[in-house]
Amino acid sequence: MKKSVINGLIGIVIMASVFSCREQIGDRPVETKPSGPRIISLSGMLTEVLYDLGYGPDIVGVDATSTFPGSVTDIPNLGHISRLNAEGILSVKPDIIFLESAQGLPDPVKQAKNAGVKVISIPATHYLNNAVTAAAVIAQELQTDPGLLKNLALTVSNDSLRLNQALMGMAFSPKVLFIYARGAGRLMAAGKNTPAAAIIEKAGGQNAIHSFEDYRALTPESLVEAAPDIILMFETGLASLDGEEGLRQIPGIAQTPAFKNGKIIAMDGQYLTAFGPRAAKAATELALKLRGE
Amino acid sequence: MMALLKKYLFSVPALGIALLICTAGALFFGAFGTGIREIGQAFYALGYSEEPDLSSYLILHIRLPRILLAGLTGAGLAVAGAAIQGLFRNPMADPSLIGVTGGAMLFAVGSIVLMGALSSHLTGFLQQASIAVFAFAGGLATTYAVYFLSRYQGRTQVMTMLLAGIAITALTGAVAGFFIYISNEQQLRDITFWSLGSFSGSDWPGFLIAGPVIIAGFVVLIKAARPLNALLLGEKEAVSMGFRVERIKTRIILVTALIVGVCISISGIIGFVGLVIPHFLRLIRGTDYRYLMKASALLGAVFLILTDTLARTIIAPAELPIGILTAIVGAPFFLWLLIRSRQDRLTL
Repeated sequence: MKKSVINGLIGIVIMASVFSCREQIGDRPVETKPSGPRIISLSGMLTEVLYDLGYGPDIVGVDATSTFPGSVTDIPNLGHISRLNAEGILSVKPDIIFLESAQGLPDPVKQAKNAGVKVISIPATHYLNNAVTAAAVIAQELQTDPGLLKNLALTVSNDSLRLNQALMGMAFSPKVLFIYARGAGRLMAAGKNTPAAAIIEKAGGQNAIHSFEDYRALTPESLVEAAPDIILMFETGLASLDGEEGLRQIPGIAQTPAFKNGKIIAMDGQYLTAFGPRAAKAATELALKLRGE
Repeated sequence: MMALLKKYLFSVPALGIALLICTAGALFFGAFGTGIREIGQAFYALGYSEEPDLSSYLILHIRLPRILLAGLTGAGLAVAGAAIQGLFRNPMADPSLIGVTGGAMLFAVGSIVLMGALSSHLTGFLQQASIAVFAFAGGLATTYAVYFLSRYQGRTQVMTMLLAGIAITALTGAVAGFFIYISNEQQLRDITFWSLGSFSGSDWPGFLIAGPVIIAGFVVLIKAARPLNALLLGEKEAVSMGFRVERIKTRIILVTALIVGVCISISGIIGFVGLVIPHFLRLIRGTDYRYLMKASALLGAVFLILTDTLARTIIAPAELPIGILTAIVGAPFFLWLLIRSRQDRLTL
């Protein structure tokens, strides 16, 4: 039954092609292309790097984590990396796709690759110079002006110097608990080897959780045991709890030294944990906040 | 109006024509704008084995297999639903009752979480493939467990099977819940997306694996239509009419598990189709499995092709999970039909 359906379909369309299309092949209107390559970035970190290298106007598609700079909202959003659509990718007619290698190669990206789009996976780290390493890969791929790459490297190293100065004035290393919140029902604590733990350590703090890796659901007992001096959250996360008053309602929070001393820090998620070009700046800002300035 | 619907609109030939139109029509829609010319070109390139350009590639290797897989899955889920409803002699039954959905879910979730733990450097392809294979194996394994539990002295007791199915589904749900609890953020997102269903990874190899299984299963289930009609009267009656009821029951369970297992492994979990499509046709034309099997397959295919077309175009270039749409599109329509049929004094 199904076979006849397929045959019928192919028949219909081949007929249509013979009657209406044969003589028209070859005179398709030429696409008007921007000067540079048409780029898709499937990582917020890489989008930032691409902007710093001057490729902002050439980006024709981004993923859901690309939120900076503000003008990125004008670019077609292809959705979250695990829910892409091959057609959506091809519809913006990309020449090259950049993504982080930790994201693997999702099926739709593989299909785009088969359709002739160049796909570049870039390894990412939790070092402050991550953006520079990524930029070097991109620059090699797109033959970028070395001056732009140098500028980026210079900015990052200047920010790192400022971070070192901030760290020198730090008397002790406070215990910082990062809480990832999406409403009161979903609270996760950052364990070892998370981007949040990495930026906390770069900023001179110590991650309050030593017992597990990745993110785990937050329990009142683990809160009390971790006894953080400071609680760090994303601005969106704190907002999802209706601010500090909502945070107090979470069992165990009010008993932590952090909450008693009013040491709740909220920062932008992409800025804080993407390890993009602004990572050293974010670490400096966090370090100053940890010091209480 | 109802009479007209009954007679023409939902007859098997009419549904067949609708499926043809939907399949061809769906080919025109997508994030990537294509008209009759691009589609003509694509098949022209295919016919003369030319190197396809971007739009031809997109139509032939991305859009076409996706549409066909959506149709196949819709047909498979709806036929499996009809067969299970016949087996349990209950229009409210659906394939999840024999444990296949719960098992597939458990194994898929397990493979998402454990594969990540085994090696975070496993390539995307291996991870994807393993989810599909595990989902399929899980569906078959739990169905076998349910079937085994309900066998007694060479007979399959449908009532025991129903209860065993519910118990095993609860058990797999609990274990899957444990995996979800220990999963990290990334895995949790994969699980959520998977359990909402999507055809976004469809390609020809997937079609060539799934197609024969679903079509063969479909043929077997069509042949079971007459005995299922007899079963409506009761098991003893069906036996006295000369049907080998036990063999048919075993066959239906096995084939349904195969079909649903394959469907889930292609697309993740897509609810609503297996339960509602056969039920909908039953409301319109009554319960005759000779009609119901074929019509369910056709209407299921039409339904999923339409909803998938919606899923991939409605927020293009991104896409919506199809599991959300099947319910949003289907449920209100089904409710409307329920109210109509109450007015018309039709019985369920």
